[in-house]
Amino acid sequence: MIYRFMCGLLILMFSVTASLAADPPGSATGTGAAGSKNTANVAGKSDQALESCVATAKGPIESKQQLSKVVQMEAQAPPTSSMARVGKPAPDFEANAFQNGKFRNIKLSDYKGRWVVLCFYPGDFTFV
Amino acid sequence: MGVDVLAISTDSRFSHKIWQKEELSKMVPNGAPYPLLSDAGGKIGKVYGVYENDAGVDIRGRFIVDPDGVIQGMEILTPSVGRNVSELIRQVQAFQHVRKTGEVTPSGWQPGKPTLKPSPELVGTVWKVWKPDMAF
Repeated sequence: MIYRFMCGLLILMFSVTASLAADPPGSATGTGAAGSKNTANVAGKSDQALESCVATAKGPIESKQQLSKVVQMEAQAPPTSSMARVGKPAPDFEANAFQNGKFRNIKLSDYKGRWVVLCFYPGDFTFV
Repeated sequence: MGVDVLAISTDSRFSHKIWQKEELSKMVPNGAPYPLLSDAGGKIGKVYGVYENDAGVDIRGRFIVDPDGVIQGMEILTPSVGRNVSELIRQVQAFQHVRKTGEVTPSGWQPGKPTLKPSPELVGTVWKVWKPDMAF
């Protein structure tokens, strides 16, 4: 019983640490990520379709150097070195995606060697 | 042109699925041919400077990324004005031309129009080869 509790706590702590890469301290997404992670583990690798529905994505991927800087600054705002600017490397990220009837995770760095147009838009089912 | 489009919003991938099915597939046969990405909580949008805190969405930002992963162009609009796809295509063609030839494309350049080759002789003599009406 205690062992189980400790395992749960460890997973939770891991997720909180991972989410610090992108979130300001005190953000609540850490616990959410831990929840999905557990569900993903239960689903196992045999059922890929189910896995793709519950898999979480990393969001922005910071290099280790930038990460430690973020932690030191307690990240009120993202460091300018990792912000998108013309003539600079596009900040890498991983996101859940839907394409051709399937769910999968996509990283920007998967597209190295290709021209990419990245289009942000306010939302599905909006007017413009 | 060999360009991959990635569309990204703060909607979930489940919302993207239903949007493809219920609306996009009625605008375009089989729906949008590119992946729809989910930026949960706008974390990616924040890094790209397009996350609008009050509305909790990523506003219309568009980034051209070259094969080395470097951002060559960006355009960010507030939500009520849509984009001009012809201008996006023109910019991609211009960046691809520059990458291939090392030439530079003056204002208003379209494929087939003259480019400029930077040289000491061209300094101060651009007026001879480029006229303001070529900007349109």
